[in-house]
Amino acid sequence: MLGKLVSHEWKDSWKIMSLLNAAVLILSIIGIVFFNADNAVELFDSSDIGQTMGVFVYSSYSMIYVLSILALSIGSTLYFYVRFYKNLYTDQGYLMHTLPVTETELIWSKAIVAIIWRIIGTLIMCIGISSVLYSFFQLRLGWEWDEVMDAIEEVFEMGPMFVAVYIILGILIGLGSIIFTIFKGYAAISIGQLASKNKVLASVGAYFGLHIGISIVSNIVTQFSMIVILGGRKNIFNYLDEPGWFFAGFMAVSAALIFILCAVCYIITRQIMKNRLNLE
Amino acid sequence: MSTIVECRNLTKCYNSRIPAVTGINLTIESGRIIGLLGPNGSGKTTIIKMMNGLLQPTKGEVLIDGEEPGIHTRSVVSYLPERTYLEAQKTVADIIDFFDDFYVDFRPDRALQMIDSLGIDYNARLKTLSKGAKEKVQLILVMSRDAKLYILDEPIAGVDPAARDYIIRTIINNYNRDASVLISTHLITDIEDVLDEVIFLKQGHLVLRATVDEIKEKYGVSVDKHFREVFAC
Repeated sequence: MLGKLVSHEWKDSWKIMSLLNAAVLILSIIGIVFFNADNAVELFDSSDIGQTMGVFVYSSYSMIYVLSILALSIGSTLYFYVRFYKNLYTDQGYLMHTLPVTETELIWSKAIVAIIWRIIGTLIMCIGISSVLYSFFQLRLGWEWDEVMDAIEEVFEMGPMFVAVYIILGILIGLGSIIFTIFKGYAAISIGQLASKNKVLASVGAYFGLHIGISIVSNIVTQFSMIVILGGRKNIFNYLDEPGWFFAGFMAVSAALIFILCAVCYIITRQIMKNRLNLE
Repeated sequence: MSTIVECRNLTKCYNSRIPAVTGINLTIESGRIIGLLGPNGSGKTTIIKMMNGLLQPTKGEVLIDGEEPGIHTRSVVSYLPERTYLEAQKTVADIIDFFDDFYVDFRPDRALQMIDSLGIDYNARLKTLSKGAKEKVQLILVMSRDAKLYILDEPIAGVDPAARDYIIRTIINNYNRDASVLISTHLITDIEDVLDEVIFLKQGHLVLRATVDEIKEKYGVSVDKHFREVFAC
């Protein structure tokens, strides 16, 4: 049944999500093409009018591009929060909660689709932004691809093991952050349903409450783990000879913490949906 | 006849702590059409929601086909809520596919036949349909299942007399004969003829459980007339 739920959720959400992702992708391609145009610098630097036009074009493009990025990152998250709320806690919940499926399947079907789209969106944003920025710096500062490759080689000189650990931890933290964002919203929406009135407002309040609570816990755990990682050493400066491994340890703790928080938010959501569901 | 619904001391209090439903003890056998009757606020919808697992009882329990509301009960209960629960953006075809995917007892051919007989466009989005047409589509979906229990919450409220006739005909012509049908309403005259039994609810209490014939014999009046006497203001 999970597969069927995911399939229907995908069918219901792919159009709007494709549109948002396509907008960022197209704007990125426009930026890359524009900044790679041979005569762009000549055109904008040739005269006062050209410079004014250049400022106008750069600022307009930047504004639209940033807005499209915001629409994709914040908009897609909000879109999946709203879908979760409407499908499971409003009138549509009368259908979804009377399907022969478990609450776990309902939650995961929503989460899987949201996570896939967030991953696609994040990849498009990362590739798009870095390509546009590279093209821009190449145009204005004369960056060359060889310099980028040299910088990457320098990183690899630190050792393949080191790089592998960083890449794996980076992916884990990135993935964990995406999953956490989704489940934090789901948990807040579910907590909001416990209120007798103004459930949407209660959900928003719960979101900020969760955010603050989680930030405090994260800070405490991070501080504590830094002390543990430092171990018997007197201070962080003792790690200056191997700062990379110190940060790798720090990243590992962050990754573990994110996944623990994901689990906590998921459990809150599931428990409320299973034991405290009250569609009124 | 086997028991399809069993409520034991079923109680629901909302936040005000004033009970909406108090100590309901009730069994429903299969193969019966039962009217759950009571004025607005008598607890009909609350009981129905608890049967469907949409509300959690404050006290007591409800068993459907011997089990608490869960996957099994959802697979044997066909439920029509008193509101539109379908996504407005979806087409009639999307919704039929959806039901076909999740309910093994759903009969898409039966649903399509009824949709056709109403002249509703299969590819029309629900948001383009009138309120009455949407309610009929929802009823058709619910009645196109071969369920063990049909729970219909106010199926004829807010529709014109012609539509009421259509709805009642649809229910009678399509329900699984081995199943039970629980119909909640306060419009008794329209459905009295199809009911085997009635349950009267008053302020969350069960005040009467009798067959239609028993009421006629004992009180010498129709169910509607007796209802008016019991609930006279």
